Amino acid sequence: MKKLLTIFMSLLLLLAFSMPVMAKTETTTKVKPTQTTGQTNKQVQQEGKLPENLGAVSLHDLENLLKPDQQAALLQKLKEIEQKHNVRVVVMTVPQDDKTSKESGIKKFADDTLNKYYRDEANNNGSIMLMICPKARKWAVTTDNNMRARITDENGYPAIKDVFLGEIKDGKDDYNAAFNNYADKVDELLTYYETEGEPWDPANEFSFMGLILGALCSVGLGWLFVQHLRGNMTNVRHVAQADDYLDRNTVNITRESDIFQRTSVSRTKRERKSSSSSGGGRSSSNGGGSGSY
Amino acid sequence: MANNSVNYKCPSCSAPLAYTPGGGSRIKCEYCEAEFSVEELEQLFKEQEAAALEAQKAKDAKVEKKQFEMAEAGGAWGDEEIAILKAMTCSSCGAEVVCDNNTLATECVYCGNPVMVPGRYESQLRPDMVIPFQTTKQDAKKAFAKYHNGKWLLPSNFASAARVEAIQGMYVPYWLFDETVDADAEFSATKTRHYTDGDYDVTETDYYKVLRSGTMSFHNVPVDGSVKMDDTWMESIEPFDYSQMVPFTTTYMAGFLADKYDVDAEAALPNAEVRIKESADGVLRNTVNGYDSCSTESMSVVRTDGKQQYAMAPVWILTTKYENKPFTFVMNGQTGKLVGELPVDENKAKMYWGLGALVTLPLTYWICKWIVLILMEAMRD
Repeated sequence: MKKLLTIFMSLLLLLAFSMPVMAKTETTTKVKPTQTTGQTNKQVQQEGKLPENLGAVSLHDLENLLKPDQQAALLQKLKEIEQKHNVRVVVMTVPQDDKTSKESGIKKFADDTLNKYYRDEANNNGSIMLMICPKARKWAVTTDNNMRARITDENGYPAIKDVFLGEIKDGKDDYNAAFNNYADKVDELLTYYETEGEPWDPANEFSFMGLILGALCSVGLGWLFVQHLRGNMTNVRHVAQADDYLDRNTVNITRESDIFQRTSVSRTKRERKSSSSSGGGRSSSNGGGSGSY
Repeated sequence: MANNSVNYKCPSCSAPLAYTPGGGSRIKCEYCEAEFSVEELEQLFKEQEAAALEAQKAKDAKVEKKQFEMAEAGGAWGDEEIAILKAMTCSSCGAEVVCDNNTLATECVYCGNPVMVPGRYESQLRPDMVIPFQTTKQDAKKAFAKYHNGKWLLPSNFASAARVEAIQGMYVPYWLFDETVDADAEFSATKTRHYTDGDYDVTETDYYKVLRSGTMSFHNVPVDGSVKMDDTWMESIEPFDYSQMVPFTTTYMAGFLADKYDVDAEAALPNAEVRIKESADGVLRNTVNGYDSCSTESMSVVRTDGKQQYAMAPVWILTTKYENKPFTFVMNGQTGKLVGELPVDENKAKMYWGLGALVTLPLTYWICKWIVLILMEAMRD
């Protein structure tokens, strides 16, 4: 009996020690990136710095957020957009470290990466990169000057930000949809620029809501106009004063007394933009912005 | 037939005389061009009035006798009707002219000659002053045409279809109040400062109690003394130029309708005092300077001196008919200021409503689009 108990305890211990090793093996085999991105990912993880050939590929899912088929499809989409518009459209997910856990840090990291590996303003129409650190829940979008002329910081960047943030914020975490939305929006904005000859500006877009509100306001203004015209149809007015009959020379002010009573003070805290929201971290040579989600 | 009404007949040719607006204190005969002063005609009127009163008494007695005959025929004047109506004989054509108890002057419906009703000042006050007509019937017509010209909602055929039924010059009884008042007012006033203190926007408001007192005089504040005339309409044709006001004489009534007052001074006074109080408030409030806001907390006005005059003021009354509806306009017979309500073409009103909306749509769309963009940007942040 004692011998059986010893064997059982030995098996339990063996099982307990072997669990972490099994778990590690499972993680390694669960996400298997595509050949091209996988190689650079390993290099980044192993060396702790970005390899020289990083710019060869436009998708680097270092955090393995996408399935292989999703990666392949997205990579294909990015390539098509790049060829169509002669640009670089990059998506990158990065691990958490001192840089990527801060909004300003991830923006600078994204700027540096774009400038070093993808920026080629002499030969293409611009570069744009979306970098996400899922563990720190930080993101950054960066553009070079060529791309800034096509996707402006004032209008294009907020539109891009909206489409990918909508898929990952509030715990939604649908990164595949977020990256595809980002790529589609970039394609749409670049197509707009090439068609219209100017960057997309929501002020130039038709606004259905603006039309509805404008129509309501116009109906109100039309009514006021007609009321004014109706008012012109009569000049019969009640006269409440006798100012015409006041003899100004007889006015004699006999008492002028101003008595201070009290002072009331109201203090309102001035609103400041919350640092947890998107935006900020912009440099002069790069556009875009960064934020948390 | 004995005449029991009075009109001014030209002593030269016996043609009826009427006051010509703007004619000053002289009256000119339209037929023989003889001119007479107001005083001369006044004297003539007194004599005529005495004779007419006698004739009226005789006629009244006759009317009483007639009542019995009419009763037998199945109809009789009631006492109330007799009290209200006044019948008299036109001194020009002899026709019977009927008017109510307030009528001082009218015109014969048969011959159109001016008729004065004698003895009407016996039971009530004789007017102290009169403002003579300075504008003519033609002026009233021109003012009416000018008034409806350029009105966008006026029916297109109004100018051609609106028939001026009648234009009557009329002296309206007015009470003119002179008052000297002591006014006391308490105002609540504030001074506001805005500044920033670190991260805060600060608004500092100082509250003050402001006391003001003063005396002032108002002269000839008018209140119409006729129930028939709408107060708002009579206020709308103000002001009158009192520099042209002269002591009352019936000479100026010739050729115009005239009513005596049926709202006495006591009943009219509150209307004047409401206006005086409002103006006194304005006078005192104008002395409250250097504040960002000021509102009246309390106000008292005490009359320290006052008197009233009974005056007759000139008014032209135009009656038009459009699509069987009467529209009345009133013109100040002295200054020519015309007031009234014009008909509104509802189809035109709808058209201008739509047109106004359409014309402003590009602007409102542009503004609303920006507001939507700004709001969306704010929500995004």
